[in-house]
Amino acid sequence: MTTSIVMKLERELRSFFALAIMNIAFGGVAMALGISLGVQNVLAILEARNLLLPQLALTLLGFLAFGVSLRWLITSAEILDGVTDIKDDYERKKTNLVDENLTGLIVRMMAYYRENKSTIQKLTLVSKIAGVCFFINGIVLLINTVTNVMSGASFGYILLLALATVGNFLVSSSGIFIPRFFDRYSSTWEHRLDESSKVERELVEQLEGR
Amino acid sequence: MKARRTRYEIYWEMLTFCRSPKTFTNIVNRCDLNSKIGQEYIGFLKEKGFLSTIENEGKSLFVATERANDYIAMFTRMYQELFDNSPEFRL
Repeated sequence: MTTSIVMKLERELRSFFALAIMNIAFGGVAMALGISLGVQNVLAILEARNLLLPQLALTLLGFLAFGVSLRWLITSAEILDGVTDIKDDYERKKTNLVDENLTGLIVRMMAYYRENKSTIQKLTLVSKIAGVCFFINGIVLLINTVTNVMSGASFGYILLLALATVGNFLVSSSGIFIPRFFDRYSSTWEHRLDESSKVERELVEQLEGR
Repeated sequence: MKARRTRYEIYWEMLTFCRSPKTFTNIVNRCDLNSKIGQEYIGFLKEKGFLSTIENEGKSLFVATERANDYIAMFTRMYQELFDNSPEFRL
């Protein structure tokens, strides 16, 4: 049994570590896209010396996406920090993973989930909001690209717009799909927490000598 | 700071740590508890016969009793089963 548990623990740690890294990477890209969208549209308004409503809306959307992505990035960094500690602990102990060390790691992972449960829920929500913001911006960019194609804009400009559209949709899909993995992680650990409360009853009996 | 653990997880940690004699300070540092909570938990384990005290060079040391082995073994088995029997998280 111990070997299968060790393998499972290692796979779970690796998966969660990869998820945290992926989240940081997309959070960073989302933040960069958000600030670039905001700044570009502010510049367009300043250049026109007039309050252009679509640009104003895109500016607000860009800065909102920036703020949300910043939060996304910070929270992801906190999550990564915790999982890195556990992963390092595992790496240190794996050459001599006796029952006691293995159980210690399980306890640590369980405690980590209890501690970060609300952060993970927030992260899931923030990722989804960022995903929706980038989806809206992707639609705007798509319309813009099509309009420019029809009006015969230069190939280079259209190519840039198309790339920006694809980038937005990629970030948007990551914002929407990454939370699904966090949901899966949460449901796995929720199940274990439920089971642990059943285990606790037996432990109480043992402690009380009943 | 150690993440949130249940009382039973802390008991397990204390008892496994006290397989060899430890001072009160060693225990609270290892389990990352404040003295008040540490005293409460150690008091409980002593009262139930899972920890005993020995004197060594004027210092009081706590050591897990035979009875503690049953709790440690039960906890270890149950937590490993709990982990092994639950669905796996994978990307």
